Amino acid sequence: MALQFQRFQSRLLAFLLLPLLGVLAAVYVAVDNANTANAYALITRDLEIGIANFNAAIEDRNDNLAIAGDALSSDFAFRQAWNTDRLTLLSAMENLLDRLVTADFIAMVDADSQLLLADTRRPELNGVMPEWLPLIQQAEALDRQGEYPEAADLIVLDDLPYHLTVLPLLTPDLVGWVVLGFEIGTVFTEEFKQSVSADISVLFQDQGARWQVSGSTLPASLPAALAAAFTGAASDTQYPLMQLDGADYLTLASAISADGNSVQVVLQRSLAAQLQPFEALQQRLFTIFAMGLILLMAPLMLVSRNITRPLQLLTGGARRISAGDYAASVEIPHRDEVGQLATAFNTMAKGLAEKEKVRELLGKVVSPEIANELLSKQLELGGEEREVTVMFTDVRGFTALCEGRSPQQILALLNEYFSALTAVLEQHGGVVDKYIGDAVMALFGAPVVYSDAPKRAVSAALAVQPVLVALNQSFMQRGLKPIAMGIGINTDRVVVGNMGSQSHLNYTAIGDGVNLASRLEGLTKRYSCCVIVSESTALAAPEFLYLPLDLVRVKGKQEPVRILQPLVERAHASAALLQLVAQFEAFLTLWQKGLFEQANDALKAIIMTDRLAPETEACGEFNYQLLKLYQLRLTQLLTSPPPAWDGIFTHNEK
Amino acid sequence: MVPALPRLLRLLPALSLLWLYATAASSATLTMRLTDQDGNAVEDAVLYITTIDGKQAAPAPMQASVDQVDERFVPHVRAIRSGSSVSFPNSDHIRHHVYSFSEAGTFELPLYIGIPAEPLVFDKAGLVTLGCNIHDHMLGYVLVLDTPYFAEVAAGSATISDLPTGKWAVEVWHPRLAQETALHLTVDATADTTLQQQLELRPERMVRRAPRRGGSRY
Repeated sequence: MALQFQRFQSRLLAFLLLPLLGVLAAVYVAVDNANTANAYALITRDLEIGIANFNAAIEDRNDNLAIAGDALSSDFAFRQAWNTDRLTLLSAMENLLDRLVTADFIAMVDADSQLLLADTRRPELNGVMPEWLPLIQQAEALDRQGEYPEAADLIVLDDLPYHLTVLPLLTPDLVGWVVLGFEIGTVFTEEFKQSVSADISVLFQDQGARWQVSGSTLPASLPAALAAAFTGAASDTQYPLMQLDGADYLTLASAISADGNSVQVVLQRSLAAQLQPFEALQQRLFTIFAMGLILLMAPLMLVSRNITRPLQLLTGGARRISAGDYAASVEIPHRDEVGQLATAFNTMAKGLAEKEKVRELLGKVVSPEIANELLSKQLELGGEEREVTVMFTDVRGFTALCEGRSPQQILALLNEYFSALTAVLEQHGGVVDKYIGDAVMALFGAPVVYSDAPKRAVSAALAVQPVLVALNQSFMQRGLKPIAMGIGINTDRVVVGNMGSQSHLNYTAIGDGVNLASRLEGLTKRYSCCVIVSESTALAAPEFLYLPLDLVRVKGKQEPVRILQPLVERAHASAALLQLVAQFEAFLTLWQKGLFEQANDALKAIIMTDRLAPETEACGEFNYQLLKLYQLRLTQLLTSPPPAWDGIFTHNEK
Repeated sequence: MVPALPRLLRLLPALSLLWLYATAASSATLTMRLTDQDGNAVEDAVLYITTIDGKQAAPAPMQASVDQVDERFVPHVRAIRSGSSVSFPNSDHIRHHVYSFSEAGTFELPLYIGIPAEPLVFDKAGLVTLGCNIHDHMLGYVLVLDTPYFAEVAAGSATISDLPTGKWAVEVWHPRLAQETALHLTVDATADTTLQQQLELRPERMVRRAPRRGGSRY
């Protein structure tokens, strides 16, 4: 699972607060559970104590009653009353009842017949079987064993539970049974409530085996609800929660009748009432936790600000650097890791600026492309063979220009010229290899490979011409003499690479093709044109209109080379120019075949058609001087024809 | 054989003595040995014969007494013939209030010391249970019988003498003898008879209440 956070602050909050929340929730839940469990335990213990107390209270009353009953029934007069009439006996019993205080009725049973003789609760009854016969039988059994003949139990009489104590009437023969009873009802439960902190109810089964409440301290309608909900299972060990009127009551029931079931005491405590003080605690706990979380957020946000702010500054700085502003620096006054990062960042920025400066400088010293080429690879001597278009340029009349000038002035003029020229060359994708005095060697197609390198070179050469014109105008305005340029271009396979030694090297080109370009440049004066290209270049750049010049053999190269002068882009050539060029091509063919008479005629014809004034002829506008040159040659050749003619003109100078 | 007859005449006193003896020997004794279910000798029992050959003999009144010594009735059981009078001397240095609510004789002698002036006459057969009003533990019995043939059992045995032979209806009474296990024997007696019986006696009844069951209150 990857949770992407937009902000560090959110992440911090999430990673710190969420676990904290979890812990707090766990604490809260644990406290809640502990409280409830505690409440349960407390209530349970109280209820158990309550039941024990209740049973003890009944037994206490029973004991006291039995002792008092014994004493009173062995009253001589009472024993005498036993022997008299029933009404006297009943009256004496009522007197006894008053003395006893804690009994609600007395009854007497004949020991022999086991029939009820008198009952203060139902004075009219006589000679019937008492409901508590089993108790009497119990006491008799004890007597037979030599134990004191007495018995006690809870018995429901007329839909009310009574606690009955059976005692012997001894004269000293066992002649009768004294039965003392007290109600277990409302009065009893109310009295008892004071000694137990729970609600107490006494339930009994009526004749229909339904549970009824004889006395209860529960308020309002709850006793009825209890009677309805009670199932009468004695000795609950599980303390089930009973719902009375929507409230939960922890309930403990205990059978108090000897048969284990018919009369039960039920102690109850409301769970909610018990939990109330804990509830206050829990609310407080909750409030504290909530406030703690909220209060924690402020410092957390502060801490995260402390981190994110500097990071944002650093990010800004990095962005500025990537945009090229190497002067970017970040100001973070911290002394911690973030501050250390800022310091390192600034140092890095300085280093990058330095490197960039070096690269720029390198680019200026060599050329940006060569600089890149050098920087991109492991610097090693050596090169590769490639087809490259080499261009040589030279200035004519520069010395005259420099006459009477100081070296600084000369340098300034030279730089002005170089800047103009280099701009054009680089515009066309050319790379300045080196400056040799006032000459420039440039490469087209190295180190960056161009598929149209020859076209670019020729293009550049033609584009230089108007630039030169503008420069000359500037010179003349400043009272300087104009200069002229010669350009030679050749396309050939040469070796390009790093030449020199490990400590000092040049990226340059070497080969026959390079030399040829240089020779071609030298021929420009001879043929009175600005640009001469070799046949290979002309073939490789057919977009231009070329004027073929000659078939020459240059110094240092045995093979003859056709040389041409680029005029204009073929698409921009006028019809007149095209015709002139075609005428000259035809003438040259005759010349090279050695048909001098015809060639002469052809030449004359061309001279006639050339309308342009040779004096104001600009580069690219045909080449009148060329015609003049050939005229001279023809005149010579017509006068003294050569013995052998191959059409090649050999140049012996560079 | 004339000289033999005076010989018979000389034997006549002896013979008459013998005849007298024979008639005198038609009274017998009944000896009863009683033990309880644990094999102990029975005390405080009364052995009596209600009828002989179905006929009841008439009792002749006698005089008896039941003493009070050390807060006890001595003897614990006194058997008398109906119509007899009983005196209740108090040999203790404290007074006693002797009473009975029994049907055979309801009486009370309010607190007295020494010998009461008049003995009491019991002319109805039955059991008179004695108690002392100020001493709950004092218990005694006077068994009033219609028959002259009775004896109080001491140390597990009793003997009734001068009984005519015949069919005797023998009874034994003990205060702790349950009704259901009372002894009713019919003895066809021709001579002295000795009987041995075992009685099922209930334990003595506790007079005071037992200490509170279940231990102390708190």
